[in-house]
Amino acid sequence: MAETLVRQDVWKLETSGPTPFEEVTLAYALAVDVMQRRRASDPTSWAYQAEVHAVRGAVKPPDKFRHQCQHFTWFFLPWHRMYLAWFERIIRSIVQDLDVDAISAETKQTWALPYWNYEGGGDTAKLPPAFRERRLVVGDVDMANPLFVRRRNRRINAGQALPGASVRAGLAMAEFFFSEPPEQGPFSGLGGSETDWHHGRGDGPGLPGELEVTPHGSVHSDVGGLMSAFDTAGLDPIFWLHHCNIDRLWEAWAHQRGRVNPDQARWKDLVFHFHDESGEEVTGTSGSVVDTVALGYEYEDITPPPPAPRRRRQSMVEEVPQRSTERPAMVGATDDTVELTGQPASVEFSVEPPPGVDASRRRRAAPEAPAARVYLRVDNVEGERNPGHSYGVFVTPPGDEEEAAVDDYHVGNLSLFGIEDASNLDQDHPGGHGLAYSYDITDLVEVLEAEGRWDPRRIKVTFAPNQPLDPEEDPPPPVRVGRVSLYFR
Amino acid sequence: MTSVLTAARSPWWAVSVWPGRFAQRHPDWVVWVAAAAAWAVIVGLEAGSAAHGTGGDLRDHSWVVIQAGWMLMTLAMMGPSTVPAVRRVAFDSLPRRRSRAISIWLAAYFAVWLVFGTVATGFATFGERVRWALPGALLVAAAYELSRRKRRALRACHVTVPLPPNGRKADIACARAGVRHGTACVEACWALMTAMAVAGHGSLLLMVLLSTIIVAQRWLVVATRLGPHVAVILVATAALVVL
Repeated sequence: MAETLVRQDVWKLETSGPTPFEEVTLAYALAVDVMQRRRASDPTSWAYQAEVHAVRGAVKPPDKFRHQCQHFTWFFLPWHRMYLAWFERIIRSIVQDLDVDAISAETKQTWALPYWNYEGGGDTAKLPPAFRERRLVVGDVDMANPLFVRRRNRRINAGQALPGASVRAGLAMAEFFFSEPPEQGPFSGLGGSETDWHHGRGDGPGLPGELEVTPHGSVHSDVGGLMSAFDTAGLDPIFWLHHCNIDRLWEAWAHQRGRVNPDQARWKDLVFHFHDESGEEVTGTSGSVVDTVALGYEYEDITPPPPAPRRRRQSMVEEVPQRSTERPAMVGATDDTVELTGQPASVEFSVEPPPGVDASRRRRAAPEAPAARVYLRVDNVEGERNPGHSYGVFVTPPGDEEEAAVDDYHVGNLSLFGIEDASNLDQDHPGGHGLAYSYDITDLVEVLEAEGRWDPRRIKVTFAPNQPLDPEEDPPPPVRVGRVSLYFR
Repeated sequence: MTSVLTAARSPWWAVSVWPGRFAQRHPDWVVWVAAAAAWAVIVGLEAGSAAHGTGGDLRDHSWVVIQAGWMLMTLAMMGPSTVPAVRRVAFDSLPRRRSRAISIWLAAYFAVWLVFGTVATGFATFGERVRWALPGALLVAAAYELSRRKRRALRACHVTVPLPPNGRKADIACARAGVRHGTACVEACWALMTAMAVAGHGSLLLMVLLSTIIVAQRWLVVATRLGPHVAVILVATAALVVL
């Protein structure tokens, strides 16, 4: 592609007059309508592109193109980048053939998929207006709006903002490493566990990276409806703008000091299959998509979002952590399953001193030893279906029971996207483990230690829904958390 | 109060001498050692039987000896396939409980195979009297490779279960996890292991082949897609046996 196209923030696209549709979103809406009218067997159709992500009820991929979405794996970001890029080309090819006065020739030539930056302040955490209008009325166009779908969270569709904890990308941006080597245990970094083409690894489930959990998974769950499940998410037109933002956040992360994408051949060279705008087969690898300019696009703004609001030592923000080769040791865990039913729930468990505490009193600490890290793990998260909201995870010091779930103690989310597939033994996708999450809580522990509020013998973890239950909806299905545990390295 | 993070900066492996450090990083070492020893014993017994022209008829052995032989073969063939799960059990346990957790888990796991062996070894004596027993068992195994049940069982082998950290609850959970994993493995591999039991003595090559298949299906993350390929291999093996 000769020209580098610019993906823009949908909330910054200017509109004049009463309609929320400016040229880019209007073009997108009309192109979606064209795609929706194509036969499902057509690789450039709406239904087919949604099935590239996941096929409803499929036991295995019907071919090398469909039911291919990569989750809980370090292929999550590059695969979705390829998926988006080819989808964008399909849309653009349709846009260029539109015969609509309201869309200029320039827009047709330079159309690029906009992104939904839900952390842009003001109303940006709300669904963009063009996606909430039931009718599309612009010039001589008057039709049902292809960008509106009923199957979303009722309140989000009505203009309520997504919860702040669901859209916050600060924790992801703070990750220094893209992934963790498997010998260090299943901890995930920004991009997810090192795996092969699969969502699991030999000794347990692959973990989603921090960016996959928040804001990716939590926005999926909190928008709800079609967006809340693997096999229907691609049918909601907001899916593509959401993933465009996730792709932008990856780009923002990669431009921060010290961040590098993986250079292992098994990440760079694995081949994925798609169709281009002509319906012809194309392939891509993770290594071929690390440079967005080479793919023909860039983002109008890759400023990293603000850091997570919870307190941390300022020096921790600046220092580049050393990569430890030691596997974290488990130092405490819950005894029983925790059931989440849409209300806050807390668990407490005792913690043992990490191995080596005695050693520090007998031997001089090796100066070259990397600083210790503390991880909270949540494993075997199961449920029949996505409850339609994400849960915040909070590590609460004793004495703060009244405010267990406040931003200061927020360590991450249970996004729950993919929960219905996670325990399904009829699928490789991901194949029966339940969901698992890992949170690096080192900075929070250090702050609480400095304040004298960290109890080394006991920890309390609180799960709280990121948005209150909707009284007009049926109670959400329960989510079962198999185990909460603490690890030191 | 000494910061637990500061204390943890002292590399915890420093308290151990080299073998201890190796064991901490590779808690599955006991499985590898046991499996290797089982293979060594089996190879030695096969060599001895061949040299002396003895041991060919199972009806010459007591039930206890037959079961012991079955467990030796199971340890050799299934042992390496337990390594991912053993590692997971170890690293999901408190460090001071790792040995206990692994021991309980392995005991429960192999207890399931012991129970299955009482049935499978019955086929072994049958196999010695019927010429077509082994090819038939291999064809049954080939057909099973293509079944949904086999694929589900393979996925079930990768499933992890939450383990409480301490006390009797932890012991019971480890035992249940071992039984659960053993049951999934029996469901996945019963046909292959039954064929091995029918093959009986003098079947080292077949044992190597089936062990390779079992380990590949446990360790490879696309194992559920190997079914057709494994089926072809088993059919070809059955044909070779007939010829």
